[in-house]
Amino acid sequence: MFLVRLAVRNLTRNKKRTLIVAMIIAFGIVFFVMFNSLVLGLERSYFDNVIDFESGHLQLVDDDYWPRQDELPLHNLITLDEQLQQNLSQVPNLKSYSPQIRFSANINNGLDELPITAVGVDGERKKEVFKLEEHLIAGELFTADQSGAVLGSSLAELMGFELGDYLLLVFTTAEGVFNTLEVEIVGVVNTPNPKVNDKQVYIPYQKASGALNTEDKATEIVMRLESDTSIMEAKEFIKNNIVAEIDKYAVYSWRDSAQDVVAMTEVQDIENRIITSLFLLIAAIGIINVIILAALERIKEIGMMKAMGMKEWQIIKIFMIEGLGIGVIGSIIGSLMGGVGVYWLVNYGLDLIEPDFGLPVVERTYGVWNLSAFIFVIAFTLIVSLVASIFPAYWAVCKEPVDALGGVN
Amino acid sequence: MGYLPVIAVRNLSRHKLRTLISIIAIALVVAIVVVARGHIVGYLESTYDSYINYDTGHVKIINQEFEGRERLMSLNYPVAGFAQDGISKMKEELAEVDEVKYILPRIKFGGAVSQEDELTNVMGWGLNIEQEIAAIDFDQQLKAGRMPLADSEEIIMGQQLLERLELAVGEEITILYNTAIGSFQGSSFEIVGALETGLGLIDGNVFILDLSQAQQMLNMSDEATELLLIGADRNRTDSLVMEMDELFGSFEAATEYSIIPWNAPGKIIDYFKIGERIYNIIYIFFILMGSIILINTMLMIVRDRTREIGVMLALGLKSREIWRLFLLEGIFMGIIGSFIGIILGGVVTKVFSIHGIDYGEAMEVLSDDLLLETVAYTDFSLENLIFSFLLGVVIVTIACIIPARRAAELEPSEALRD
Amino acid sequence: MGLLKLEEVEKIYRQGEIEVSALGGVSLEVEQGEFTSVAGPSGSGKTTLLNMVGCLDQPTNGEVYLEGEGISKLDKDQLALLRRENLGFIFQGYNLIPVLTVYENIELALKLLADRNNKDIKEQVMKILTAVGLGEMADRKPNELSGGQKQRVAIARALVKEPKIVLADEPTANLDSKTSIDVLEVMVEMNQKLETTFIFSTHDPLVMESAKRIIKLKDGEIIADERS
Ligand SMILES: Nc1ncnc2c1ncn2[C@@H]1O[C@H](COP(=O)(O)OP(=O)(O)OP(=O)(O)O)[C@@H](O)[C@H]1O
Ligand SMILES: [Mg+2]
Repeated sequence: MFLVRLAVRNLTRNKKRTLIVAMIIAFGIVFFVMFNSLVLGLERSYFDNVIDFESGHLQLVDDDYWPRQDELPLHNLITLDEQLQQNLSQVPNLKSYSPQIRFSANINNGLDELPITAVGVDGERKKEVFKLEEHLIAGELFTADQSGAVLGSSLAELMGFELGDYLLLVFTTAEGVFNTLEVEIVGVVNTPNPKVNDKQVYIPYQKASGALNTEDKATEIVMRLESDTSIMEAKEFIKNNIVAEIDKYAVYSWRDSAQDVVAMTEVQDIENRIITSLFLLIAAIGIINVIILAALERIKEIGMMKAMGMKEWQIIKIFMIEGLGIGVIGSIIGSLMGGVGVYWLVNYGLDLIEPDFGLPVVERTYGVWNLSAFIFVIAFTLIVSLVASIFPAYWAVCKEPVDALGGVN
Repeated sequence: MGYLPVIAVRNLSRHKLRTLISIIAIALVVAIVVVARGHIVGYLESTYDSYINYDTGHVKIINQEFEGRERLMSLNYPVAGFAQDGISKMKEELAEVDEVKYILPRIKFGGAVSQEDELTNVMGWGLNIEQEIAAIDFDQQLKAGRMPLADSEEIIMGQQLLERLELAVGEEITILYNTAIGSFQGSSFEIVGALETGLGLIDGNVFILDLSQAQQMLNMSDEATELLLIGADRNRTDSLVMEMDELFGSFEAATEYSIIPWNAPGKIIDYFKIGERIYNIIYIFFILMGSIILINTMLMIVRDRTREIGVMLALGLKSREIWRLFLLEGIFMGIIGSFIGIILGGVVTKVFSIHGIDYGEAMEVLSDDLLLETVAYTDFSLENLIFSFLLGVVIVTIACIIPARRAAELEPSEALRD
Repeated sequence: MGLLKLEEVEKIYRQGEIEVSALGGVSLEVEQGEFTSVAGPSGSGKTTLLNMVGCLDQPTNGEVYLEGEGISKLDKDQLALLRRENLGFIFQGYNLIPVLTVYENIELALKLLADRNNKDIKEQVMKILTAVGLGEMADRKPNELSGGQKQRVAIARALVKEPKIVLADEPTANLDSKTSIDVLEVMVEMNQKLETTFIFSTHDPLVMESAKRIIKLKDGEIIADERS
């Protein structure tokens, strides 16, 4: 292709200028892919936190309970009867399930009292659904028939509790009567989920049930699947087989429980796109500028080309290929640099959240490889560079050599 | 040396399109800086204000044992005067200090509202209403009703909390709490107002009553859980802290108190401050990118005018003057571009300073624990416009040194060769 | 002591490995008020020689003396000052600063000199403009003038500060022969009136003839130095 060869030659005429504008593009790409990688990384750890410690993969709840669950009410509960157990055992890819009862309580150390969320869980099952056991820093999880409490490390520290101490829970039962429960602390966990660390106390399910007078009922049944790819399938199955029979039940995936987190990462994603667009907008002006400067320099050359019989659109094409060429160079540099940046994020991570800011993660954040981010931003870049070069290219061919020399005597 | 600016200005209009594009580029990056900075400064300022007003004051005085355990909202670690002789006396001493403008004793305690079979946890704040109004315009946050009267059984409540409890202004409510001596009590109050601060943590959890009323019912006469000090300006906190250290040092028993400035290291505000500094670097980076476009153009201009530079050199202009000539041309483009930029950016920030950007749900994760507003209002201020304008002009000027030096380095005989 | 003296001036241009000797040991003296032309074929070193005399470039070897002072010891800024005070230049084309009017172009040369008040400047500029026959065109921009007019402005600008030497590198090369003669006449007239020393290069025999002294160059050497 003659035109392409000409355009490439032209680009190398003023290498510095080409490179400088390509660098702007490259910065835009680097920023986008790294930010994207980090957001996805954050998202993944948020989501892992939600799945591993809060909601499992799926939750079976009462439909009236769901919207009010933040208030931790004790009505609209769910009964895990024989029938339900049987049905649940048929859910495809189900690894484990566990009923739990969450309720609001005050924890008391004899001196101070603090509102927390208490969770009655089946110790054995809990192990399979949630990843508490791996994060024990002292003691152990209670078994089904045991008594005992497991609590978050920062809560324990705040209240001055140690393993073997007795903690007092103050709460109201389902009928609104005050009740207390004294339990020995058998385990302390330090998880990546600050909610668990700060304000969660786990006690055995039966004990909670008895104290709350909830007759073995659960606020929800949490389920863990073999893998998170089969969530939709399992959810459909439950919908069709369980919810269909008991109308007031509903099934929700972890994504439904993490609405606010999803909203947060969406905003971050939008922010990323806006900032990257601004980079590319500047790059577009840079490209327009380069093409205009090149056209001004070559105004006589263009006249000559026209005289030689080259068609206008061919000249436009040369300039557009030049613009695209800058885009390609920028994309290559940007992808390479961005690749290195993402590699670094994936392997070394970033200490984003030093103090506990209430974000749903406390760990170092690692990036995630996302090829589609690269493809997206490169495609976007190339389109922008092509579009940016149309206008000045058109301007250049319409310009007569005399006009172009205006201002010089 | 009046002729250099004249030549520089006239040179601008020689290739209007070329000049225009450079100016647009500068205008765009400066506008981006105005908006971005307006957004960030606006958000940070409102966050700083929220923290200062509702959490830290300019300086917070608490019981040393309470430090780091504020979450407990315990009444066991009160501020009770320099020699346990009450805060009234302490306030008198504090009022003597030059830097102190307002002294705000507060009691923050936990409570619960029992409705039918449900218990809702709430947070009670006992405040000296009059002083709070004077210091932080607290009455401005009132959405409905009025502030509670002193020594009355009246409270105001966060709007969201009211909705959650399905209560309205004018109704009665019973709140359960533990007193300082550990007895479990309940009191009835009349709700006389609804509070809307835009901060989920307060609007959804807090009720406010008069301080002396709180002291009386909690068995904390002449005590508070914290004492906030507000000075004339938050930037003078350092001297406020110094005077406090001095004052507290003169009392023996006073070592049991911690003096915590609002921007103490390790606190969230400190991290915001670091963020602010990082953003400043990003602004510079953006303007540099715009400057690159200008540098490209200027380099071409220098090449175009080589002959002319030669003539000027022959006329006896020094390299330094040639340098200045091109720098001036760049600076003019920087000034025009930055000016257009702040006008564009100013319009956008003005719009968002009125309407705000609603982060809505996205902020909810954080607003449970932090004093963050869900609607971000951009800061529209002259300070921001001037800062962005100067940043634009200064960076463009620095960037133009490159092409200007290229021009100044030309040898006369080289420049004159055709 | 003469006004201008060149002593064994050599100029060697280096282009990578290749060395081009543009001037090979030229010695020469010029007296106050002389009207001299430098002639020679293309590439013979005329421009190079004028650049040396005009302090636009430094010789590789040898020395140029202006009123007995050697210039090789001067730095860039001192050379610039020397030029602004003692030398006037006229070039082939691109002589004027395009964004300044005729008046301003000439004024600039004066403004560069220290301590002159505006009234004096205005008087001087108008006097010289009238002298070159362009009194009417003071407010025009260079691109509104013909080639001959432009060169006259250039002459006016070179002369307005009453320099010791005016150097003109092919001042008529872009002009037709009629206009060339006109421009040359202005130069001769100024030479006589103000006793300004003129040195100009040309390869046009007609133009060459009007000079009282003709220095002929070939391959960077003086091959003839004739006074008529
Ligand atoms: N900057 C330079 N680099 C290399 N060689 C040069 C340079 N300037 C001049 N020359 C060489 O020096 C020699 C003399 O050049 P000069 O320009 O003085 O000739 P001239 O007599 O003015 O010619 P013309 O009549 O074409 O203007 C030539 O051979 C030229 O190629
Ligand atoms: Mg020549």
